[in-house]
Amino acid sequence: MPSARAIGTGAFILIGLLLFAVALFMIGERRMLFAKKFEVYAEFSRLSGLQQGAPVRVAGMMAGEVKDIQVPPGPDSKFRVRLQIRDDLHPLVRTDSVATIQTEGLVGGMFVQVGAGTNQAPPAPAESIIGSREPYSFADLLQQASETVTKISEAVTDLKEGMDTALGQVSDTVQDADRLIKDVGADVKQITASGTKVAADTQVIVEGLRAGRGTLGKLINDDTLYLRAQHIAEQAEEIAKNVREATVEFKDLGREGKEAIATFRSEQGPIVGAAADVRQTLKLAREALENLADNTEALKRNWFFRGFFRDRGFYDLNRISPADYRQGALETKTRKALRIWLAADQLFELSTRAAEPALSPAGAATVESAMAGFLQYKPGAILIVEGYATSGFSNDQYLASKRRAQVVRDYLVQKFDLESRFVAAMPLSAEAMGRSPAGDRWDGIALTLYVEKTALRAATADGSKNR
Amino acid sequence: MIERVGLLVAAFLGWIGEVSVFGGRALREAWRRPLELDEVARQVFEIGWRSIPLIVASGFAIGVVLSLHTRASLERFGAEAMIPAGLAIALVRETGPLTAGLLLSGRVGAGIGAELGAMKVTEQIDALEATAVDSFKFLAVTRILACMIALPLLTTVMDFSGIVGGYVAETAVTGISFWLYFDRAFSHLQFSDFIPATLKTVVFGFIIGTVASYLGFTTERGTEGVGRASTRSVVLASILIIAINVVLVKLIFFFYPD
Repeated sequence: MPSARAIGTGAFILIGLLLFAVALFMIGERRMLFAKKFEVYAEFSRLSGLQQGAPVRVAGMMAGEVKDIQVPPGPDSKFRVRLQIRDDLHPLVRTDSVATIQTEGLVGGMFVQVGAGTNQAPPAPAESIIGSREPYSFADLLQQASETVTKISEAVTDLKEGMDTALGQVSDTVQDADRLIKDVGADVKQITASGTKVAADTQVIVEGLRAGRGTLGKLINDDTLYLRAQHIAEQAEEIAKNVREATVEFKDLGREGKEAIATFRSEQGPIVGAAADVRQTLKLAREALENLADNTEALKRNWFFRGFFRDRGFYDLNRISPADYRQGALETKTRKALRIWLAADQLFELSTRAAEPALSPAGAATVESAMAGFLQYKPGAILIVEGYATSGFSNDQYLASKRRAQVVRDYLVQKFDLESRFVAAMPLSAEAMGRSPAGDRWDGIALTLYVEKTALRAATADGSKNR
Repeated sequence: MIERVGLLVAAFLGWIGEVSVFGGRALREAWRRPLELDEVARQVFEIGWRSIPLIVASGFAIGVVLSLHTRASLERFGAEAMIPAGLAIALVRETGPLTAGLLLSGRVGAGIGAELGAMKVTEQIDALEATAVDSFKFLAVTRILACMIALPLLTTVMDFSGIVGGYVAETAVTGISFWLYFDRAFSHLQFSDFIPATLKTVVFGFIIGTVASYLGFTTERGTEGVGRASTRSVVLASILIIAINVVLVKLIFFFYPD
């Protein structure tokens, strides 16, 4: 039986050695001394304090350590870092894995992080070089953050200045556009009127042709006219040529318009110049359409087509002057005028009666009521809205009467869906056509319907205000 | 005055030389038969086993204190997870070996000095010599060897005691599990941290045993000399341990620069 002293000595030595061994094992376990390992390389231009023995993590898992760091032979070369990694993590280390040097928190040491690769890439062979990304130190991040903040500040300042400039330019552009619209408004209205007129005349011609009226209709049955066909064809060809030229001119103007708009939209093009181009283009377009209208006017007066227009007694209601109208341009032996007198104070708003007359609700109702008696003669009958004004000098009277007549005319066309070519406004100043309820003068309008006597007899006259 | 300083320096150098010769002789005698293993084992028991309570208690207390200080420092940086590793590095690298050496010099150095001094003044050493026993080898070499054997083992015990003390302090604050704390404690340790620091205590043990034995063997003037030998053993051994520790740490960093 050993003595207690011997047992104590043995226990002391065993305990001490055991603890020593445990410490060695724990450290060895952390250093992967007892695991199978493989080695790969990663290259970095700078190490940011990475040292031999620093931990290596694969996809965040403790995987090994830096075994060696080879100093590059020159500035253009890189440090070659030898990474020792546990073999059981080899399937995660692929040829497309990327090694980075990172910091464990703000105060931790440096370690190498190896990202897990993709399934498409094969496992990185031992002793091979995997990809790497240069490290960022905390100082680098702060420096970069500082530079970024500075750039953002500059960008915000520039943006603010740019916004101010842009808003100013937008404001200027809006003002220019507003002026442009005001400038070209009259041209556009004129173009629209010319286009409408051309379309209306063309429609009359086509309808006449379809009905077999006029010279062309006679040409079909009259052999004596055949001999003049050659001359007719020449004239027709000349007219068609004019139309074609006008069309080509209009197309060219359209192209110019596109170019002008492109210039208007382009950054380089000065908006004033673009606006001038647009105005010029619209002016040319208006002239072109007027030429086209003149051509169709000439066409109408050509003996070949004039039969269509003679039948209805006028070529264009809008081209009848007040003087001609007073001379009875629309009155024929078979046609009678029915006139309804409407006073201005019954029709227009008091505040706008002179400059820009507007129909009051009561006035609109009055006009509709007066028109009700004429509707039985439409379509085909000619409706003239005669305007009268007694205030001011003769020029003021003319303008006021024109505006009043136009307002009522537009309202009737829209309200009763009338054919605009058979409805016209006629400014007649102060002197009444015939005898008005107020005598020789009238302040207001008169709705005058030119109706065929045959139709008049067939219909029942609406008595009280008709003459 | 200068003459007196010169005498002191000469005495000091003479003392260093005599201690060095004494230590060298002990190392040389250690390999010569008879090895006196029974006496070595008995001294290991006396020096090592009986010192375990002192070492464990001290190590535990040091671990608690180190943990508290480490927490106060690292939590400012949000690095509480580094507390176990920081404590382990501090303990294993320096605190454990040095503290164990100083504690052993206090407990054992004084005992060896007093024991051998008493034997010297009571002529027991002369009696051993008269019975053909090599008193130097039997009394000095065995104690020096026992110190050299026991101190690394006691240092390891102190390291673990300190880690356990640190765990107790840490788990009282955070509730961390023992195994996680243990794992983190060793997460940053390397062999170069543990082995050289632990083995350097062999030198500490040699210093303690040599100084104490020398002073015991050179005791004079009765019981007064015994008391002086005991006191001087503790003081000189502690000073030499601290001084030689500087050299040893420098040597370790030279061989293990990381």
